[in-house]
Amino acid sequence: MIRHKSIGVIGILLLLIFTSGCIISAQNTTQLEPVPAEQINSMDAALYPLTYLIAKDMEQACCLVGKTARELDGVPTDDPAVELTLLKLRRDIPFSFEAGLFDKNDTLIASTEDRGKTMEIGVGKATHHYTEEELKAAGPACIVSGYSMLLHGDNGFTFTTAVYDAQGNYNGTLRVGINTWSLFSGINEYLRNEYGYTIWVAQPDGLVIYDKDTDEIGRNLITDELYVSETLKDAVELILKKESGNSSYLFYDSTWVNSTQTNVVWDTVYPGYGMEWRIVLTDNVPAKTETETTATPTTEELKSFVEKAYVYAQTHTKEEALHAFNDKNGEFINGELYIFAYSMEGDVLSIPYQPGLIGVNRWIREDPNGIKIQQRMIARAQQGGGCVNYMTANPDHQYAQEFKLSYVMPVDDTWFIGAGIYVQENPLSQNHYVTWTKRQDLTYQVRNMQYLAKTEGIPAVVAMINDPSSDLQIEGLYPFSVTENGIHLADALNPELAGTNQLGMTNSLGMSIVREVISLAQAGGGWMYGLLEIPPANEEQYVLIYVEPIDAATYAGSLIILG
Amino acid sequence: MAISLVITVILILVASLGGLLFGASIIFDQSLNDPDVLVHPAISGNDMIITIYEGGRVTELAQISLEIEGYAPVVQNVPGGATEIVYVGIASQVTGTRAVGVRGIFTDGSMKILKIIDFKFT
Repeated sequence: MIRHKSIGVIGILLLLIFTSGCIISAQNTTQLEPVPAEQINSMDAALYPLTYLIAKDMEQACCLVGKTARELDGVPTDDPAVELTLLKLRRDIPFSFEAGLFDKNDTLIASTEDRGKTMEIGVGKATHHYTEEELKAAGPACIVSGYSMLLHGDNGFTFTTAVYDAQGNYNGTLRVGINTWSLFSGINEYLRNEYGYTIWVAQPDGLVIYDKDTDEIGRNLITDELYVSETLKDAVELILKKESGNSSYLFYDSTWVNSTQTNVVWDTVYPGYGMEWRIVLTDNVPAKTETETTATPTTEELKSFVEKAYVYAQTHTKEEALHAFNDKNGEFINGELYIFAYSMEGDVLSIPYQPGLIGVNRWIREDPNGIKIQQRMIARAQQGGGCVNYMTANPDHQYAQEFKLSYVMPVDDTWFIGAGIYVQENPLSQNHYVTWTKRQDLTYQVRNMQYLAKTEGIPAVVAMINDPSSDLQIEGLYPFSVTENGIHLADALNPELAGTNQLGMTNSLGMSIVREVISLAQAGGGWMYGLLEIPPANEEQYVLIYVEPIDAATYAGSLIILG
Repeated sequence: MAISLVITVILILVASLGGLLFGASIIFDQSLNDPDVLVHPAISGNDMIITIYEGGRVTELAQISLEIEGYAPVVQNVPGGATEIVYVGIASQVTGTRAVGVRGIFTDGSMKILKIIDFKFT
């Protein structure tokens, strides 16, 4: 009898073990669920207008490049008209990086301002070589390169078209580097906010040229170990093979721990000769939860938390400090606060909740509005530390993109630490977003000031900034100009600042916006957030700023008030 | 009278050594592993804020000399227990990247470099 009972108990135990094994197994191999036709139709309806828009943008940009090439035919490279023509082209394609002329041997012979100091005339070489036959085969269309690192150091692709001498002989190429993040991130933000979808974009060779998560850009869907799941492999094969369609696959959700079913529809855009892109719309955007988390630490508490880590880093070896910062159960985790650490080159040294990122270089990481997060942090750390603003996914709100305030401090000249809090009252945390057309307007306006400074002179640009009815003005944008010494030459938002030195102006976060603007302009230009007193009430509001150098000592910028 | 003389001598010494600090590039940073006083300089507008954290000789710290490359050193007294010394307006004309040094002057008259860091003022 006892023996029978023992057998029964063993049997039950075995059953439990096998059953639990089945449960665990089932969780790891979730089957794909069928997707209702209505959902596919709804996703298609969101995607197709955007693929049309991207195709039109590419067509217009290509036309501009072709038209500019004809203007440059037969013009000697030392003619001042060449620089002006290139500046105008760069202005008219707001998602471009730079424009340059190359000789038949692919050597750079003229370019827009050498902001990055990497495009050296007579030295720089084009990143892609095309034969005269290939250029002829493209006809009036531009050749579109694959995604790669471009001559000036950023990643993107190029439009290339032939340029001819006065006799009509092939004389070299005109090339424009295109910023893929700038091209797609605004569209992605629109989709995410209006429909709850996002996009990723891939070349036929499997290279991801855009993803909302910068860390995925540049990976290859076919060869990268990140994309090994069977369902994803099947979907990728289908996506790369067919011009349009729909599919589903299992991939990590925003936690990068659990897998979830992602449903996709895709379409193809032909941006120019020799290239096609698969624009893939996904439905894996989690809805933002309304539940509030625990009370957010104050800015002072945030600063104290980072200072505590600073003291630890200064009184321990770097190895000991990083070990402590990476310890999820250690003293440098406090609610939503944790210490991150980066090298001054953007390499991740500490990030306790995403250990897989340690060692990854995030120099090019951008937020949805183009703010280069690590580059802004590094710039701030090199000022001795302080606050930095950017948008990033909030794990407490289903990884929705929210506005974050981080406090950073340099440990020494080679690395820095920081921590951050999400700012719920910021409009960008409340489903407000800056449309890509507004961002393009900002870029256009700043580049227009750059162009006009060359053609009309800086005093004329200053006069146009000060004149609310000048052709420079665009509704809702506030242009300004500042010198390398912090003198405001003109400020459409605050005209009375003209002629004053604003290096000392700080906001309630202790940030000197003018120092930040100058630092960004001297680094070649780009995007940043600021907290500014907005007249007439002079209450602080967040703004999005775009800035570029006009020359070595003068910078142009424009801003839009958020919210 | 004697105290004034000592302070004057200290100031002259600080000013002389300040020039040497950046000119000769012979800098001994002894602060990192076992700091006498752990400090951190940061910029806020035109002000420089020196935060004093901890260290074996923090109670002996009498003055701080802030030395910005290309500018004369500026000495400020450190009141007992102070955790922050603000140099108001010291960076008003300062732009670009410059080395910044913080030197501690202790009650026994000894001096020590507490921090050397490259700063991007703009």
